[in-house]
Amino acid sequence: MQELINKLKKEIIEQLNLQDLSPSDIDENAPLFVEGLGLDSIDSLELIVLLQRNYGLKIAKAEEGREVFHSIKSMAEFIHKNQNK
Amino acid sequence: MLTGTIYINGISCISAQPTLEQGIQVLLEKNDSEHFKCIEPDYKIHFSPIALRRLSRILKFSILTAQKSLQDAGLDMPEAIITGTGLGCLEDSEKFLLSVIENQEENLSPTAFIFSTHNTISGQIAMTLKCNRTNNTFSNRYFSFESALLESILMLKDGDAKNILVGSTDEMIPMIREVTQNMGLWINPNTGTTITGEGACFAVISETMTEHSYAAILAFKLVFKLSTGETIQDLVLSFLQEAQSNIEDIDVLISGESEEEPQAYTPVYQILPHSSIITYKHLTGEYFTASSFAYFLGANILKYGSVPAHYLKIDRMAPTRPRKILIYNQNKGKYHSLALLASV
Repeated sequence: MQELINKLKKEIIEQLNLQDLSPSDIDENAPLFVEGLGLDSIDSLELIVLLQRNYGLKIAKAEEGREVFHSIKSMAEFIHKNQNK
Repeated sequence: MLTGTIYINGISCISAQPTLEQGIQVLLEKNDSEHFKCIEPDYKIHFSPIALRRLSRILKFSILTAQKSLQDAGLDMPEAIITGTGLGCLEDSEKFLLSVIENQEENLSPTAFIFSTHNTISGQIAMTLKCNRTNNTFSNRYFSFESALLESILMLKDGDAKNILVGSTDEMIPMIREVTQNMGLWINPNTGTTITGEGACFAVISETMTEHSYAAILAFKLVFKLSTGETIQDLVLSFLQEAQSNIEDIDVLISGESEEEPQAYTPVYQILPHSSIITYKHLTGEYFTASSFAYFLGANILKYGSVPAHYLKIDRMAPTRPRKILIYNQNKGKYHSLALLASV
């Protein structure tokens, strides 16, 4: 799981162009939106694209998205749980 | 033809010259072997990292120039933001189109798409300022800036706004420079040298004069093509007549003369034998909204009362204290725009 979290951090930094951040700067338990990384609605679209493109996963419902995109850790758990289904 | 008095109350420009920080008095020679590249500041001083990560070059220099023109006018919030751009956000458009190819038209980044649209520029300025009023963008080749200015003047005259942020912006990227070269566009025909440029110019205009005012726009006219038998001398003379001025009133002519067609403006120079003539494209390069630089020059010359030698055509004298300036731009016999500026 930690390997997946680190990979995800790197992918998010690249996808969202977070130029001044390194993976170690990101707390995997911190909220991604508003607090923590302070992401916004455009970023949420980027994260949906990232999940679909890199992991072949789709978010079916908006409610599910809220849980999945709470933090890096919740995203990693979602990927881990669904990727090999 | 529009006549009346519209004041330029604040203005800022980023170009291949150090205009953003130093106005029009300092000269730099062509700063890039390929084209006239903007002299940009360290954006980290002006934007937060979270804002910077999404902004392409054109958005950064447009927002910054817009903010500086507002500061210059002593105004916090305009009632409209009207922008002209010939080619819009090229960097983001290229990024988006490449991602379409790379990802086989699937799973595309929304950011590159959103930021590739022309009205992103006015929209991002509005979001930065938290301005909820009108914002729009005109893209009309060599009339892009002029269309934005025309719309702004009409809005002021109709009473739809009291202060309008109007501006122009264009960026150049290597791929488009290659395309323009292949098209034979923006090239000195004698040397084969590329003369492409880029830049942004924003101004606050209003029907009310303030302590910050630079100049007044007394008349403004756009003519796409001349009528059959009409010459550019006829056009200029009829413009001055309609503006209730004559050739002796014109202290300075700011001309859009470029290396691409150096003789195109000669007939106008001939009917203004006593006016100083200023050209600027040899220092800024050519791009669809380059003509906005003429307004930046005119406003500064009228406010500060002197003409920098590097803009002056060598066979004409500099005026002591210019009071009226005629701005005339055209491109290959089309897109004629005229403006009469006066000191305040």
